[in-house]
Amino acid sequence: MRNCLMGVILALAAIPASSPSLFAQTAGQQGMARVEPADSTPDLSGLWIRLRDPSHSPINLDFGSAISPMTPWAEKKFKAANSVYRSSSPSTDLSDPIFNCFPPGVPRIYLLNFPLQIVQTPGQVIMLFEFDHFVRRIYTDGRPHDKDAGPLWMGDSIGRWESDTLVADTVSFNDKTTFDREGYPHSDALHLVERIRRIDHNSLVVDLTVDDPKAYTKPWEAKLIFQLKPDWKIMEHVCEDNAGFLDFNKKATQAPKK
Amino acid sequence: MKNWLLALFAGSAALLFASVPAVAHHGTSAYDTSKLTTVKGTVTDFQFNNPHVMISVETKDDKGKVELWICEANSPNVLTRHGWDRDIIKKGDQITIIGNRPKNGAKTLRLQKVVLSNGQELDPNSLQD
Repeated sequence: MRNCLMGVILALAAIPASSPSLFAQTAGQQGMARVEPADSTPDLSGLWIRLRDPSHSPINLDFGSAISPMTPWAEKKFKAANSVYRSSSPSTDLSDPIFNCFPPGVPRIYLLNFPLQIVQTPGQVIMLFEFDHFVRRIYTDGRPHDKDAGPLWMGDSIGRWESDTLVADTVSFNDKTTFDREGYPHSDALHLVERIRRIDHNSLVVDLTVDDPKAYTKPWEAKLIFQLKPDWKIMEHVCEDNAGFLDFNKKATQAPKK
Repeated sequence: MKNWLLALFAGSAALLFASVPAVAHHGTSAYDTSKLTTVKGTVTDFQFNNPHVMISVETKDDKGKVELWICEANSPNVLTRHGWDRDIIKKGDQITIIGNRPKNGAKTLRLQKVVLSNGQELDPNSLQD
């Protein structure tokens, strides 16, 4: 009996010493991807500004013809979102969430004319946006989506490396943002996939696929190109400090004096 | 006949593409984007702050009537990357401001062009998105 007990105690004592490999084996068996060693992972880091040259990308401030036909649900929402930022119809509606400094959502944040800084750490690719200092974290440590998260303004992002490409997968969006200033809506079922890679040292491409069957009759794709700006820095931008601008817009949108 | 039609089509397409950027770079459709309003006057205020740079310009007509125009441009973050700095315009400067006026007739402009007293034109591509 005592020998048996000693045996158990010794066995228990031995576990901590061997635990790292034990956990690693367990992780492998559960199918979780291991963190890539830093020297074999592509490097997307740097300060990037979206190119708006039409010869590189037809997308300037909105996704335009890239967008698939909307469902009736989305059409209704689109008509209601008659944002003052919409270029195509007269509007004084100041309810665009961006106007009120709420998060732009993804991929709309890419369309705003401010740079972003990509910082890579083992397990995370972090996007630091100049626009109102928003942050996206794309977890590359093999974790699944957070089932308890959401609905979120910027979604819940995980990513994996496929050769030279970061494949980012984002879900758990709320339905409060639009894709662009024209007001194209999405539902909370939006599933966004971004394939992000460096074409050359100075160029980054984001090939995105929008899959939202509640809002669009079929998935649609768009390509955004970014240019490296090594001599720029991320500057402060505080959207909320806009009392003067709000007053300015009020003057422009109120009824004319008689 | 065919060539004539082709030329007309090409001409129309060129005109369409030429006119798109001016509208596409507009953020607010409360403004009259079909024409530009030009105002010459004296700078009374220059706010080189986020989220939008604001310039106040006082004009005086030949009867001596003073009017105040408030103009808005892009974020200084964008403008500094296109050659602006906070000293580029000072109170008392004589400048020409060109932009889109709201449809309600308010004396405000979304700036499309600025010409300084020395004749220098500031980069129009930076003033608005």
